[in-house]
Amino acid sequence: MREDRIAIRTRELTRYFGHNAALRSLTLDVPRGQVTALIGHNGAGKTTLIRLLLGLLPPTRGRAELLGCDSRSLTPEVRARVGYLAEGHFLWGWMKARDAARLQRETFPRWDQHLFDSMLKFFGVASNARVGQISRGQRAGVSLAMTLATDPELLVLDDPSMGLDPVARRALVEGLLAFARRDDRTILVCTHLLDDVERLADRIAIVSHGRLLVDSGLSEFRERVCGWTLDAEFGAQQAAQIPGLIDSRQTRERTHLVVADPDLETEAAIQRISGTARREELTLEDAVLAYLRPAAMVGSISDALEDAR
Amino acid sequence: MKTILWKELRENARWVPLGIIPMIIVLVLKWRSNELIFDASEYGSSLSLSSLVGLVAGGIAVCLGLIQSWPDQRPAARALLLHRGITADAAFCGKLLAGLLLYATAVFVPLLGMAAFITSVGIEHRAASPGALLPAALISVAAFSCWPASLLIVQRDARFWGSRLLPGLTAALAVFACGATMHEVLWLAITIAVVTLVAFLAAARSVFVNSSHIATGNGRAYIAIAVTVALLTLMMCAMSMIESYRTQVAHSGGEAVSRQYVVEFGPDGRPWLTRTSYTWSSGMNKLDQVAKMVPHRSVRDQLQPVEDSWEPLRKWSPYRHEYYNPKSLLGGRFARLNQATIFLDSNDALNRTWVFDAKRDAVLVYRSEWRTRFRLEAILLPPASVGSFGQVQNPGSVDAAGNFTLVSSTGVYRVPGSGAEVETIYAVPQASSFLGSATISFTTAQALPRGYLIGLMVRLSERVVLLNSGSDADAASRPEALGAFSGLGEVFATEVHLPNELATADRISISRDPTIADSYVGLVEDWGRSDLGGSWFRFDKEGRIEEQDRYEESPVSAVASGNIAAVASIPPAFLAFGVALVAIENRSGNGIREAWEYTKTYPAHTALIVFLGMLQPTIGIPLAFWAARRRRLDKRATRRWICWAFWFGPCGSLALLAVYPRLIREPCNVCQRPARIDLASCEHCGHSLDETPQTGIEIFDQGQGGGSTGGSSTSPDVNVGPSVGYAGKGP
Amino acid sequence: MFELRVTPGGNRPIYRQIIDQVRQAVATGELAVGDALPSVRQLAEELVLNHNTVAKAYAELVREGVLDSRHGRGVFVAKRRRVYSAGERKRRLDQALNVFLSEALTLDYTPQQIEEAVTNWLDQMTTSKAKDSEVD
Repeated sequence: MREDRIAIRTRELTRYFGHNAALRSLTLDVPRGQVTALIGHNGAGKTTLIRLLLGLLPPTRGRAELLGCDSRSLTPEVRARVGYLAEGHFLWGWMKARDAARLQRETFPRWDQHLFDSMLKFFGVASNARVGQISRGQRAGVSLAMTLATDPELLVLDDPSMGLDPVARRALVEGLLAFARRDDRTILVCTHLLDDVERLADRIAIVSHGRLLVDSGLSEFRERVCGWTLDAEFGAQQAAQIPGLIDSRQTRERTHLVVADPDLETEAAIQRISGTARREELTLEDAVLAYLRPAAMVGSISDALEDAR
Repeated sequence: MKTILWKELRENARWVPLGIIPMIIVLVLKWRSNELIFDASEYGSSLSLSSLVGLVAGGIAVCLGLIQSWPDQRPAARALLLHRGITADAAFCGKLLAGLLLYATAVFVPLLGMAAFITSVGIEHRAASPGALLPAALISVAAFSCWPASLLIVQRDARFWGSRLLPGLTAALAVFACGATMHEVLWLAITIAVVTLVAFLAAARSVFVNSSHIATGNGRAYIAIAVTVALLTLMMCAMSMIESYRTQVAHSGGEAVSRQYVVEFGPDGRPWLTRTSYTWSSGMNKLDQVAKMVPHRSVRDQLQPVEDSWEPLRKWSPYRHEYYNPKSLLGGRFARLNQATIFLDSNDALNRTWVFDAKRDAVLVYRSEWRTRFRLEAILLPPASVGSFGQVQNPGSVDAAGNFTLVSSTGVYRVPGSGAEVETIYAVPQASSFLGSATISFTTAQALPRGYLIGLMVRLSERVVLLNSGSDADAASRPEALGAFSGLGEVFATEVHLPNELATADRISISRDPTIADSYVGLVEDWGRSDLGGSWFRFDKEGRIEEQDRYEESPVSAVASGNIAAVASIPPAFLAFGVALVAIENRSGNGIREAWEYTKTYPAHTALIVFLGMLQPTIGIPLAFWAARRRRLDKRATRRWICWAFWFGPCGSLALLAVYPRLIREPCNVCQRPARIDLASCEHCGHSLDETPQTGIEIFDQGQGGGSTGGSSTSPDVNVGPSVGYAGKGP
Repeated sequence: MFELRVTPGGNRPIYRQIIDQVRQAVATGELAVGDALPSVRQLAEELVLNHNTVAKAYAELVREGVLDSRHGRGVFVAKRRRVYSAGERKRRLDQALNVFLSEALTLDYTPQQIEEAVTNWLDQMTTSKAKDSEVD
């Protein structure tokens, strides 16, 4: 039996809201058995992508498949195999924790009550506590427990660490890792916390302004994105000469460049601009930020603050 | 479905008391508004029980629909609701079932409670029957269509709020139409209720299930209907407002708004046509023009202003009868149930009140104590020889002794105030059907001192029967004595056969010539009858016509004068429906033949109506074509919409714009012309819209797109023993 | 006892951090030949890491010959063997020196000072390694 090794597959997925394109021609494969981190600034289209994947929103064009089933016509059987945690840990406020369990238990055949109970205990939520009256972190816990206890094959999480304290956040990461270690489970997680990404993810996908810019293994990504430091002035003219330039950032006399897939040509171009250019090691944050920072925003906030002073 | 049902009930049950309270308030107010009678159609009350319940139930349905759909429309809530091992259909059914249960609890539980209360009170002190609640129950069923309508409003993703709200207008209209028609044509009311309910549920389901928010398939058709009806309503309202404003302006100078023609007998003893006008400024009917009726001459142009000295011979005020035949499947029975009790009359001197109880087929006599509390004194049953009172026609009047004359579809009865047996004055013969009655007032000097008199005209299918007490008035017409009755003395009956022309017309008025024995004048006001409308006849007791002629202008001018706008605002579909309805409902059963006759007689008028009728499709079809092109519909859909526009005019065409989302275009990368974003390739140059320029900073795996490298792209060759062997495990 | 520590957010990817630390521990003798390392699963749990990351690091170390994976029994520190060709070894040494020296020079040390420091370090490392092997 050769199973489809792709859990999520999108082809030219595009979605407009009125005249605004939230997603443009996004083609992404999320392989089974791996953790993929979806990263993008707010409004980049991550949540739209996830809603499209789950068939909660129809695409303007293109298509998406979830576990081999078209997103627009997900059958209840497929839905029951997919766990989804929406942004903001939404729960109906009138619910008690045990009501939440009931809601899930009756509609997900593989419900794991034991896991749910132990997660509630971890987050310190009594089973008769009203969801509307517990703390935000606890609510997040209930929400997570509701999702994880459905024992999904594919877990789609939209910013799960939102509102969690460091302890809960670490518990979340541990929980997800434990989940991922189980047989062939796939996770697509959307997050802003890059430290967690480093611990969690096998793969990274970066979405910016509705476009997919990166879809690669985490370590490949880090190898293929490189940084240079120059001691020279750097403007748009110079930027045009460097192929694959992602971002440039200026501090006093220095310029930091982030370049994708540098080759000899790139290196030569940089050397032409400044002979003393040095290669620098980039943290994951540096690399990701380079992708997310819109060109117009470069240095603008600190400049504005300086000017204000 | 069970889970969603549970969730919806658990979430929204707390709102039910908010629905029960206004229902109870309405019922209690109606119960208290009259001390004796509890009835669906109350006299002198602007809002009947059923319309009040319709309003409240509609409001409950709207609120319920909103609280069940609005909060769950937030993306996260929608995801939590729908992302589970159930179909969206099941989720919708859960919501619907919960909505129904909550609605039934809020609306029908108070109604049932009221019914139980009425039963427990009994007729001892109240002339009330639980059947009076039936119309309210029916309208409550119709009002539930507001529930899916409000779901539609919330869930549709129409960009224009107006076109979102339009279905709501249609639902409200349907509730109103159901309430308006159910007393007359019950089957129509039930049809409206059922069709609206089904259509709105189907549309709401489609919008809910297809998360697109834009309905597909059937849902789209139902939204098209709802929006079309709403637009038509709006247009007709606007037209009638313009028309009434125009009329108001035109008549502000004292011109008559409506006119009524009646034959009266003038001082010379000859029949005169009198015109009574209703003017806007005075707000009352005023006899303003008269013309002497001369045989074989139209009096159309001879109406003269009334001189002060002109006074008709007041013998009998003429009988006017407007025939209406309620054709209904269940109509008669329903009407009896709904008008379970009919207030007849009350007698202040003896503190007695008469009420007709349709269910018991009896007259109930109550006596009031301290003016508020009533006690049942007697139940008067119909005489054994007649069997049933049938449908009570009009409230009679009570004389000082408390005797009372009851007119019903089976005859005329004398109800003695003493509570003794009911006497039959006149029984309608089995072979004839009762069509209505009129009270004849004796206002001449010699008639007055005779105490209480009856003067009644009973219209049967082919004749009228005049009943009067005291013989002198009809001495010349050889009346038949019916016998003596309580408080009336002798009553005489005179039968007058109607000429065929009058017998077949639906609206006639008859006057008796006071100067000539056995002579009557009848007027046909039935404009639907091209051969008879505007004719007058003088005939004798046997129905032989002595003189006849036309007296008034043809109906063409009446239509043409002010109603062009009204006719033009009716789309062909409604026109056709109206024609069909008239053809079915026409008493003589030959409406179509008559219409054809009419067409032949008045070609100009027919041409005008055809022109006005075609005005709508003439505007609507090009508009539909344009709208379909704008929305890029395929040929089949365009054809369908053109048909739609033919039947419903421009409103039908505009509905297209509300049903299909607006197309959005963006400049194509290659040819720079605006291209539709919902197609994969540019409609002008055929280039794929998905080919986006690469900026050189993209980082993708080699395996991307192929999907074959899959699971182990990060660690291609790890096999580090069993404890770490997980990564190597796989298919 | 040898203990790994990883810090996310650093300049080096986490699997590199693991590789570096194991290499260093082997080089300094903190880990002796034949010592068992925690399994991928244990280490992933302990460090709160994706097991694939740990597996990748181990795979790299096995390929370099630092570690030895014995089927069914776990991962052990391997006997030193030359897995690289002479040219490759030279290239790697150059690379390491390049990084080290440029860093050191930017800190304004004279070549003599650097040489001294290097010698000291080398002495320390070799003696501690000798000590470990004595204990063995």
